[in-house]
Amino acid sequence: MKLVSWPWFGALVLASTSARAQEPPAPPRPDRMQEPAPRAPANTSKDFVRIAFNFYDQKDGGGNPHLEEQMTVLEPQVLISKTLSDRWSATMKFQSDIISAASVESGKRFPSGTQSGASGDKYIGGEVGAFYAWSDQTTIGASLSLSTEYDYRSLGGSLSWSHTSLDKNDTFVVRLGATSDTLDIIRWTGMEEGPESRTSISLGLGWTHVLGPRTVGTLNWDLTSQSGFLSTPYNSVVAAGTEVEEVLPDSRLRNAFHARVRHLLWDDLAVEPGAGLYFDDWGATAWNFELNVYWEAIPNALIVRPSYRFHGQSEVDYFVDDGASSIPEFRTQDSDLADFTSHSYGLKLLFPHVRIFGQDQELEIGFEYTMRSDDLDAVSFTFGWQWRF
Amino acid sequence: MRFFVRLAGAGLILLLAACNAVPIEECPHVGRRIMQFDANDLEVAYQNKVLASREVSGGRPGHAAGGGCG
Repeated sequence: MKLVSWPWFGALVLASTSARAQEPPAPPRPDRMQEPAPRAPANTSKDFVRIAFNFYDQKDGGGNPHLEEQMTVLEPQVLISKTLSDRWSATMKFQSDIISAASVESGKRFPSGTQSGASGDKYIGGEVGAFYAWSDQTTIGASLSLSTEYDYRSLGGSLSWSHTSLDKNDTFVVRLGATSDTLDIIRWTGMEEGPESRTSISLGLGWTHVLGPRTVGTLNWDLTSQSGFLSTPYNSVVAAGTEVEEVLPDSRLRNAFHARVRHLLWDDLAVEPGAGLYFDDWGATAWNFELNVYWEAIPNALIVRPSYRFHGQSEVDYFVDDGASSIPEFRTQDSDLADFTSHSYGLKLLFPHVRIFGQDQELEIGFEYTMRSDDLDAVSFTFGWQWRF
Repeated sequence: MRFFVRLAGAGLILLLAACNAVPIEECPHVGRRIMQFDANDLEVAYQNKVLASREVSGGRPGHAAGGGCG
């Protein structure tokens, strides 16, 4: 049954249009309807408590065939920041790792009951920092850090200087750091060889520049000099029909460059391409490209951040293949010092202003999956919470 | 290799330096959260630790390699 024939339908549309044309013009919308919703401002709070829980799980789908490399890490973190006066502020950071690694389970690789450095079970670390606003443009800072594991202790310190130009277009940062580590040498056989030390000294330079009304760029260069015991005590090398401990040179000079540009494409969406290059005097070269997207999906309420990162690296000169016919003086089969490429895909949801019990708080939930060409894939989850007081 | 590194570095510095300074008053977007670099110290510390232990290159930019058991 046809309710309305086409000619009648056309006449109805025309009549409707004509009737609308005769209606008085609609009143202008109230001004508040035309104003864009407020956007989330930069998080510059210096009085806050931030807590995060990270979960990391690495599958052993390949890598070093002589070693089980499955690993799960739970990592809680706490950061407290407080303004002490007009010029002084301070931070305190605590971090812990609870590690479960298949490579050290009793009866699998190590003699029953042996506690190896590979598992360590627990890592606990803390850092205290103090910052002094020398002027409106210049801030200096210092920090002291301490961490410990079953077979390893570390003491570190750093100094930083940050200067913003008068026109606020440029910020320069200089960082100096030093770390002294003490390692208890526990070999892959379970044999203990006493303590060794490692020292790392680093210099970091950073420059952030406002490139335009919607674009900001940043450049970083980090130089690190390491000396002392730089091998991983529990790593071994299997070649030429035997298994021996990993041995690496006692010095290493490392260079890392990184550049990023953040550009606001639309009012609620910014993109950040970045690229990095690394090389050291062990013959390793690495490069990475990344793309982060920041979408303020709900103004001042929800930021969605998908991300992608490509990483490629060449092996160190001392990497020994399975088929090697002799054992060189310096040798390693550490999967993380080998040739590989990786692709990481991430998604983070950030709620910048959540009212809980009348307080301004921030929540975040993140996920990342990394696929490595040597099949040591990993998944990571993060939950974070910040209370500004 | 070092030649290309120096060339890339010089190019990047020239690119940034060549851009005219913009009065900050004309950049209201720069003060927004989605334009802020590394706003979350704990996130950066975690990422740095993961990368430092799994890759040869030693961590996030601004966090020099070194220290730790990895």
